[in-house]
Amino acid sequence: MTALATGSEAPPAEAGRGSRRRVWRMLALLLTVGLLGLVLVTRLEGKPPARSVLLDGPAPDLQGTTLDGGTFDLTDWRGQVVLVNVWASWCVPCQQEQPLLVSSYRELAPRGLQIVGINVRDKPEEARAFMQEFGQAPWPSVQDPDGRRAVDWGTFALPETYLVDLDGTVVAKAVGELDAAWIQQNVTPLLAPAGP
Amino acid sequence: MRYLLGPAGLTLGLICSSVATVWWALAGRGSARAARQGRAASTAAALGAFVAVVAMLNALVQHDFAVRYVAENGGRAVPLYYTVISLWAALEGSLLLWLLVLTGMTLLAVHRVHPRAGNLHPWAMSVLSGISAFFFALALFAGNAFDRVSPVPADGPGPNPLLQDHPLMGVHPPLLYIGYVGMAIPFAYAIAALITGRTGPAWVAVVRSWTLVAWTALTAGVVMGGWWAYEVLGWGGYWGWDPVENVSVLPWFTATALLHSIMVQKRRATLRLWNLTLAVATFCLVVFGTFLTRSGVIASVHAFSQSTVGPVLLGFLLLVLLGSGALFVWRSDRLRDEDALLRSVSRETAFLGNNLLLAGLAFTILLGTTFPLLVEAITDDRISVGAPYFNRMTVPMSLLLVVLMGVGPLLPWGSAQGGTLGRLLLPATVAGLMTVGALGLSGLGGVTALLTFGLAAFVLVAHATRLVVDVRRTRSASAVGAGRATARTLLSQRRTYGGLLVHLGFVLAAVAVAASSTYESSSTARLTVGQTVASGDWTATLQAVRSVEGERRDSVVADLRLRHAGRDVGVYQPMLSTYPQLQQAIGTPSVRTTATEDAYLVLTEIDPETSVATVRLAVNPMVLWLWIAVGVMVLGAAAAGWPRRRPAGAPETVPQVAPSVVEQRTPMRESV
Amino acid sequence: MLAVALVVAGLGLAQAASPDRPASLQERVDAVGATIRCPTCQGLSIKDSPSVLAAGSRQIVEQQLREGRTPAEVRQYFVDRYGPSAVLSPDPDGAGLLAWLLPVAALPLGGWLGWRQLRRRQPTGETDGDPDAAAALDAYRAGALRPDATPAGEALHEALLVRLAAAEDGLDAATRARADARLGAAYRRYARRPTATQRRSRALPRRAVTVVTVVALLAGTGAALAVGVRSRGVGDLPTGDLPGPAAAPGLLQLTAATRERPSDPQAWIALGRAYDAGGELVEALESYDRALALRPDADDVQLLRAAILVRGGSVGEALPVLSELGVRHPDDPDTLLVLGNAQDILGRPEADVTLRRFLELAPDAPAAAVVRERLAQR
Repeated sequence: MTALATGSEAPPAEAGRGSRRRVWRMLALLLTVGLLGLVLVTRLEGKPPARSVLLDGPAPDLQGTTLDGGTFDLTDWRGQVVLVNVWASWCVPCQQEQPLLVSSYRELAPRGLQIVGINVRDKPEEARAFMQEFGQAPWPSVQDPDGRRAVDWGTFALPETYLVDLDGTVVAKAVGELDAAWIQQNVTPLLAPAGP
Repeated sequence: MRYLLGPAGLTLGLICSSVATVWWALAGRGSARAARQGRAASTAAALGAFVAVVAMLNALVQHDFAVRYVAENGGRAVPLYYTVISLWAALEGSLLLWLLVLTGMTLLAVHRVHPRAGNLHPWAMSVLSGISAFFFALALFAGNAFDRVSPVPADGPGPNPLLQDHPLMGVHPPLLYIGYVGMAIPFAYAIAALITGRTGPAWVAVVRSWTLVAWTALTAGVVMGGWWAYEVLGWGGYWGWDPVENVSVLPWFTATALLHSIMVQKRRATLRLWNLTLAVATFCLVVFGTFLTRSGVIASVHAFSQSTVGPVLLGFLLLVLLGSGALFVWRSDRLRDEDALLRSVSRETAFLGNNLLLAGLAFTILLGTTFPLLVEAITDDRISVGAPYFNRMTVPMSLLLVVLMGVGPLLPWGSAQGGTLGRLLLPATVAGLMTVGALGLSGLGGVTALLTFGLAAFVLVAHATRLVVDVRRTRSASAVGAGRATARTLLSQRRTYGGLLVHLGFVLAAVAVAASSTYESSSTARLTVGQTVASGDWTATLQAVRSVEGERRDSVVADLRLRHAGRDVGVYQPMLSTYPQLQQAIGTPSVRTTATEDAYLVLTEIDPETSVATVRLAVNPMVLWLWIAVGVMVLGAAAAGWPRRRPAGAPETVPQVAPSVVEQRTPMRESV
Repeated sequence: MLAVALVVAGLGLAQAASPDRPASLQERVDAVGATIRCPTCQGLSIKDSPSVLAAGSRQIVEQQLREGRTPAEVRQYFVDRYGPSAVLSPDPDGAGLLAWLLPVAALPLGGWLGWRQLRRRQPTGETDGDPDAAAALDAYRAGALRPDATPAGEALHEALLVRLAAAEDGLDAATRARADARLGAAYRRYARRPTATQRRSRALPRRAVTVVTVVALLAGTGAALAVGVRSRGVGDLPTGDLPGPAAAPGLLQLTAATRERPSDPQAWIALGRAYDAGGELVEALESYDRALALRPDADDVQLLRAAILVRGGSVGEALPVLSELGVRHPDDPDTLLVLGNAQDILGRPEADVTLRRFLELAPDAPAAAVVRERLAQR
């Protein structure tokens, strides 16, 4: 290969120094590329969802008018285990988690569980119709027509659910629709043991 | 039959491009027969890609839902145009488009040989064939679009509703892909230059035209993307500093830098290493962007869903980096500069400054985009880097770049004399300063915007000065009238003036961007029928809210009567549509474009029962000029890059192995 | 001349840099909103995002700014609830500092590295000019030398121009010598160039390929663009004026008027109307409230205020006021229109009656046609 053959015709000593420099450069190259690959590979599995900043801190306030017309204040329920569920009638995954919530409530309310909803940017009639249709949930929902309360609770998207402990600390957060496993792992341990 | 045709085409492509890689490499070592075989193999590979694309298009148009890609992206209710362009609506199909463009451009490169290419050509073709082989393998094994689905669904969900909204979706991805794939050709020639050791004038001559072609397509593709986002997404902007947008534009910076610094290497035997690095870096950035988009590393509205393609692309990226790096290290002795540049104010140093700024811009954007990733990898903190950071960082550098754009053409090669330079720059400087002053005193606000306008005037007058100087020189060399002298100057220095026209287009775009971001105004109001929302000189009155049910979507439309300075200009209809497969409604804005500003109407909420709509009326000045500017840039690039008529005698078939006469006489020294 | 231009520019910049009026609440909300990330989006700010939570966030920002909090405190509120990723610029204290520093440091570093690569200027002695170069120059100037379109000819032409430029620009000797050498070499090569016979058959297909590709691309792009531009809205482009600043100039004067005469209700009403027309409902409400404080029994101001509440969506709040106004002024078409509108939105049955009364009293009002249509639809 004529073109390659006309390479450096340098004297042997120079060639030696030149080739040692080349070895160092190759090593540096390998190191850089390897590091880059390492960083990118670890990112390949995608990010786990962000851990909420609210965890292990005091629960934000939650006050307002409920869908039934009454008033609600979360501090009234201090001393009980509360699930705060952010939902709306226009949110499709909320439809799927509602029956699970209702059945969990029926099972766990005797053990001390309370649930309150935050109804975001919804018309009261449509919200009430939603609750009727998907299990006739008996717990109150605070109206949040602007979405301010949802932002106050650090909501990223609907639905999200927060678990508030007896002393008012947020101990867990579920992003997306609930599943039974999450309730089993996080809610049940905080409640009073099942009766005979 | 169709189920076989698609994978068969891909397999043909894979085999032929693998074989072509070997044959072209042999041709590089001197075998003329291997070159002929390589040419045939490249043609067959292109045919394979063509067949696969045609098979997929056929499946899409005929709504053959047994094919998995069609089952996921096709729909009976989708209009024909959008069905055809849903070829690139998702990952697997977009790979097919990529392959078609790649093999097509390889074929073009095979047949259009620069007469000075010598044995650079077969080695470059070998590299291109290798890249094609990789992507054929990727399409065949990792992202097979032709998989069968059973049971066969009766109908499909159609492509993402955002992609069904505007005809520009048929223009933006193909142009973008031509730009990206086009950057593989300078890369291939750079690798060929490193392999053969001919890193001098031959490489420069070849690389310039290919980079220009790819650059033109990339510029047009990126701006078309911005136009599409403006017309479809509804937030009223055209560039969101989205991570995928950012990595897609990184190759543009290095390509622009290459186009400029290659002019220095044309005149002097210097900057070899830098130019080769730029050419290699451009393609590496293209692969990096492809990887980032398709791997799920970055969350973005553009990103394709995560798939097995990600790790494979990462491997390819690392391989390319390692391979080219190794070649650089091996050839480091041939990359020394023979004719170093001087520390003086000259066009060479202006080009170096230009390269520095462009590299700085690329570095800043890359850093900002990957910063959250890096921080999270090290400290597990999540931070976001968005528009405020990018705007604050890139604007000053871009303004400096525009300054260089004006000064550069007036600088001589070699060192400049202060007096002459000052005299040349005086009209432009005065024009720029007066523009800033006049606009500022007339009440316009925004310091950055004023500086941009002043710099635009500066560049315009500077380029006019350059033209005047050249015309005067032509007239002094041969006595002709001013008109004929201008024509002759423009034609004889077509490349330069094409480039200067591109500068003017860029400056026009900068003015449009500055005006539309500084002087935009908007207001949002919740309207019942008869109420009006106003912003600037425009008012929009809600006339009616109606529901329109269709096959592929249900929309609620607001009829808004738009008035400009009191005069009625018509009824505009933004809407909110719900598609069966998406939960959230997609808003479609309605835009009225005039020469000076756009009135942009978008709905955020609408209720057909109570006829209440929340309407946002935004007034964006000068947006039309941004789209016109890209046309000017493309025109300038075409004028600069239009191939010269080559006389006969230029070797067309197998290039000679021995380097040309000029090279032999002065192996390292640059001459024309 | 240059000095004059500098002064003018300085004045212009100074004028532009000083804001002519304090930023309105909406502008402040926008400025802060542009730095906060929308929770549901991938990187849009709450100012740009159309999503539900972004709207709620904007209202929180507005309320907090109205209460007097600083932008930093507002941002801290969001960081407390969403983590540091709620803010769109990396925090300068902490890891984010790198993001701000590195690009700023990279440029000078790159510049310094590049500078080191350049060679120092060395004084070079005068070199003898290349005789071929001189001959070429003379021939070109006399018109006897016209380089043809061969590669050698093009090279010669370029070398000629460079040499002419070197002479005219008065460059240093080294550059001139280089240009001379280049011209000489090019001239010699030109003299030696082969005059080949034309073989046109080969050249055409390559040209055709390029031309066809470019034409196809341009045509495709042009067609798509034409379709894209045409499919929007009503046709022609009237010539427009230069875009002016967003706020109406009258607002400045009206605000000044209220500052001069703070106890004149008319000034506040005029200001309120101006805000109203400009769509700035909150500021209009404030102005009307000031006017009402000065003259509590001004029913016209009450009506204007109630109309704003209705427009802003607080119909429930406005209705009692409107009902009272309706009782006091049963024959005023404006009152009836706003009252009827409010009742209609709330779905009250009295809306029909009220609106029909309005139509009786003011059949030619501009809103009458719309009202008629709405009643007919029922």
